[in-house]
This record gives sequence, C-alpha cells and structure tokens, in this order.
Amino acid sequence: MITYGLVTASARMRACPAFTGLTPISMLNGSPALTWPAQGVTRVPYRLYDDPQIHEREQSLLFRGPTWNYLGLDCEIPQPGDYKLNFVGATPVILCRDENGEVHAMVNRCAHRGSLVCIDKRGNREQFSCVYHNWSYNLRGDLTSVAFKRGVRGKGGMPADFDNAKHGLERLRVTSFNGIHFGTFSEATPPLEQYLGPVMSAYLKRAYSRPMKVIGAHSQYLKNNWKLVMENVRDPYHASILHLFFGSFGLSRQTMKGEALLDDSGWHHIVYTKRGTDDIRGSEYEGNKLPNMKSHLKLNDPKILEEWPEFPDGITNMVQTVFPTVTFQQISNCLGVRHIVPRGPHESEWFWTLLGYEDDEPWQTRIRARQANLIGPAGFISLEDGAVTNFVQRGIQGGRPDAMAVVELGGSSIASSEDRVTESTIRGFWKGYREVMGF
Amino acid sequence: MATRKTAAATKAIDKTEARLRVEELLHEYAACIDDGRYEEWPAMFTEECRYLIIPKESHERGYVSGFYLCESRGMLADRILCLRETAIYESQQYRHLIGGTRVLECNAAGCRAETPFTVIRTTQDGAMSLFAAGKYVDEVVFESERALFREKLVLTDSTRIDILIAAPL
Ligand code: FES
Ligand SMILES: [Fe+2]
Repeated sequence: MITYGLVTASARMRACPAFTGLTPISMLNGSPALTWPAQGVTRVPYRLYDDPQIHEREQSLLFRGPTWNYLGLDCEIPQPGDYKLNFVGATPVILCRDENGEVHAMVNRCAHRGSLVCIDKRGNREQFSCVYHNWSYNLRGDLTSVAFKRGVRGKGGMPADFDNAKHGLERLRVTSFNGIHFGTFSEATPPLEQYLGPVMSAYLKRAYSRPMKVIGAHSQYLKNNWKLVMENVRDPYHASILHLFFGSFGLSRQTMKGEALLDDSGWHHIVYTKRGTDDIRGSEYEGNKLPNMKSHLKLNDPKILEEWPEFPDGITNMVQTVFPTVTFQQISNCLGVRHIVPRGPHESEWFWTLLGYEDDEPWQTRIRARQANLIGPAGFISLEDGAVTNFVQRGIQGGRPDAMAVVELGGSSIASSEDRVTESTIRGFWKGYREVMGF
Repeated sequence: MATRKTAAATKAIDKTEARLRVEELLHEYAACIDDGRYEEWPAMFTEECRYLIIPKESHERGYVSGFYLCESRGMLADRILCLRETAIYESQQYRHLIGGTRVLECNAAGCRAETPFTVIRTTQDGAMSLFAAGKYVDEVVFESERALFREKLVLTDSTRIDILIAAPL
C-alpha cells in the first residue's frame, strides 16, 4: 500500500532541515498530497514518474481536463466511414469520418456493459456494432439499435422508456487544425488556436499546410513513464550530447542558429536549428575538445544525409510539442508525428507516424525514407532516447521520498531564447502540468 | 516418360541446391549477428542492395519507412559504424532462430526465398524476451562461390518494438 500523508510529510519537515523550504500543496479529492518543492519547476519530484495514484489522477485531471489531445491526421481517415483507434491517456477512442465528411471522436467503450466496440485499429465502417450484444452506433456515436430491445415474442427486452438517445458512446469535442485532429473531454478547453497561441499555431501551419500522406507507422514500447518522454523531446540540452551521431556528423551543434521557443503559457514548445549557420571558432566545439564529438568518423555512404531545402526559413531540424502528449518533427526532410500514450505509471507506448506530401515526387519519398534511419526505435539520433528514459525510470527507484530532478539549465525562466543551452522548455511542461493537476 | 522424369528430377535438385545455398547464407548471417561479428555483416550483401526492416503491416500498406533502410553495402557498413561508435544503449545479445526456407523462384543466377525467423534478446541483467518474429523475404544471387543478398526484407509480425533496435535483425 502506498501512503503519502500530510502527517508524514510534515513530520519529515520537522526532522530534516532540507525540508523547511517546502510547502505542502493539495490534498484534492482525497488523493495523495504531493509537495511541490519550493524552488518551483526547477525541481521535479521523482514520485511523478512512478506513483500509481498520480497516474490515476492524470486520467481525470489532465487527460479529461482542459487539454487538447492528439487524435490523428486527415490523411489517415480520408474517406467517409474511415476510422482510426487511438488513446487519450488510458481511454480508448475512435476517430472517424461520417457520411458527410465530418470528423468525430468518441470513447471506444460500449454504452451497454463496457466492451470495446471496435477492435481493428484502422478500417472503414458504416456503423460500429458491439460484438457482445450487438448494440450499434452510427459514425457520430449515437446508439441506433439495441438487440432484442422489445424482447422476444413480447417477453423480456429493455424497459419501455429506455431512450437510445441517452445511451450513445461518450463523445469528445473535436477540433481540426490544418488536417490535424485534436480532442478534448472538457468544456473548459479554449479553442485550439488560443490554446496554442500565435507562434505555435504559425509553426504548426508551416509544415501542415498541404495534403499529406503516411509513409510509415509503428510504435515503441517504452519501460518508463510518459512524462520522461515529453521531457526528453523538449530537452535541447541532450541533443548534441547523448546523440553522438548529431555532433559527430555536424548535424546539430549548439553554435548553429536556432531558437528554443515557448508560447505565453509555457505549455507548448519548439526547438529548431539551422544547419550551415555556425562558426565553431572560439567555441567549445573547436578542436574536438568535446568528449561527445567524434568528428574523425566518416560515413561510407553519405546518402543518408542527402536532403533538399524544403522550407524557405532554412530550418533543418525542428521539434514542436503540443501539450500534453504530441510532438511534430522535421529532421531535414523527415516529417512525422510522435504521440506518447501512457500504459500505466511505469510504461508508455510511443506511436510514430512518418509523413510526406501527397504530391511528393518519387525521389522525395526516397529521401524521406532514407532519412527515417535517423529517427524511431533504430534511429541514429533517437535510439538513445528510449534507452535513457528507461535509465531514469530505473535510477529513481527506491530513492528518498523527497528526491527530485534538477531542471535549472538557463536559470528558472520559462521563456524563449536564442540559445538552446536551456531547460526552459522542460520547465514550461511542468508549469502546464502543475496548473492542470493542481499541484 | 523416362525423359520427363529426369527433367523433373534435375529441376528438383536445382531448387534443393538453391535452398541449401540460401540456408547456408542465412545461418552464417544469423551467426555473424549473434556472435557480434558485425563488421562481417555488410559483406553478405551485394554492393548495390536493399535491406529494410519494416513491420509486415506497414509493408502491406505500401509504406516505405520502417526501422532500418540501407541501399548499399556502404550504408550497411555505416549502420555498424554507428552501432560501434555513436549508438548508446544497454548491451544486449540476440539469438536468431531461423525456420525452414521456402524457395519461391530460382535459376542458375539466384533465387527468391522466404524464411521465418525469431530473435530472442537477452539484456545484461539476464532478462530474456522474444524480441522479434517475422519472415525474411530474400533475393539472393549466386556469385561464384558465395551466395549474397541483393535484397533482404525483414518483415516483423509486430508493429511495436520493445524500447529500441540496435543491431540488425
Ligand atoms: S457490452 Fe456492448 S452490447 Fe453489451
Ligand atoms: Fe533525443
């Protein structure tokens, strides 16, 4: 049994001088108290990555709260009747397109006794029928028929006043932004463009302004909490350190022009770099002094680095997140979406969708496919991410209950900067998290 | 009758011979990876070649992106270079179990064959897991003494990878 009581916390506060700066925060809805360190978001309690009760609370306050959750892309459900299964937190959802071309999302859970109504992860349907007792729903989630509703030969059946209209699938509010579909359970979630803010909206439009097509789709099952993944994608500090390939082949250096951007709320972020814009003379990179750069390495066949300038702004590497769980990436010409789905407090599944444009020439598709070697579970610049987030999950086991991460690179600001030697982007995530979770 | 029987017998031997050559190549391929002799791995392919690890489902949908895509022996060598020099991950051991090979087409120059495989992965803490299962779809050329892969599709049954793929499957 897990007990985190205020009593225990305050007893510890008296016993240990290190605790005197801490303010116990909430005990909302009878859930465990989490004492956010007085240093604010420059400290992150390890409990957040590990505690089953926090995981439960995320389901209600974050995933059912005022957040826009990634559901899928237009090009995944182009035709009426097309659908795709996804998850909002732990909740299974169906994203589908109705006869009129409108996009809907509903919980994939039968209103009768809770079975999944749809099993195959993608397909085309005229309606959704639950296999258990054949309750059927239209593409908007309305209950259209109940087997033996009037009984058999006048015996049995549902009560006469049973109203189908009250027993549809639970629906999400859906909003579509340049072919990207988001859903929310909450009435309080502001319109998406307001949620994103002008800068984030503009950058999202940048790559998603033309019809796209899927060129790859798979997932990575990670043995760590989902938030470690979101921290990792929002962490420009590690990029040229952990990923030796980046530094060794000059794909990304801190000296290159770029920015770490946050919207006003801090919830969403972008980090981008522009290759070919730096001069390493006089920097830490000069003379191969950095242990993480092996610039003597030469590729046998540099085809993998072939690219073409696709965006007029000259950005060669960009990662953008929309709070809470989705990442949009552009690594040279390798475009894609990564969506993290929590699978309990200690595991998560990372869904990768690799993209091109509908009107790509074959040579462009080929370059995108080759560059896909850089990303994903076998990626030259991302294989390490799954390893290292798991190292954190294992490293925090059995620590002091008050143990916490230090997120202080670049001070305590949650603001955009031209340098990427900062963890402001991670602090922004925790700011959003605290606001939504009430910590 | 006798003549036809002979012709049939000759053809059957060709296919068997082809199968033996493919099996030998596959067994060497698996041993080379499982023994960590990664540097010998690219030499089992022709100079111009295609090596793709991709979920079977993605392949059937016509997707081109999977986990590994190498289009030359040099790109295969780069995979090994990076595995040795830049990739950071926990050390792990593969054990390939190669199933029965079916030769789909063959002639004197080469053949196309399919072979099921499984890979058991053991991590340094001793945990063992069935890491991958699927089939190899190989285009093999018989060049002089050696058989070489011209194309090797590694079609994984699952769309999901447990944490990461470092060494080739
Ligand atoms: S649970 Fe779906 S019809 Fe009974
Ligand atoms: Fe990374």
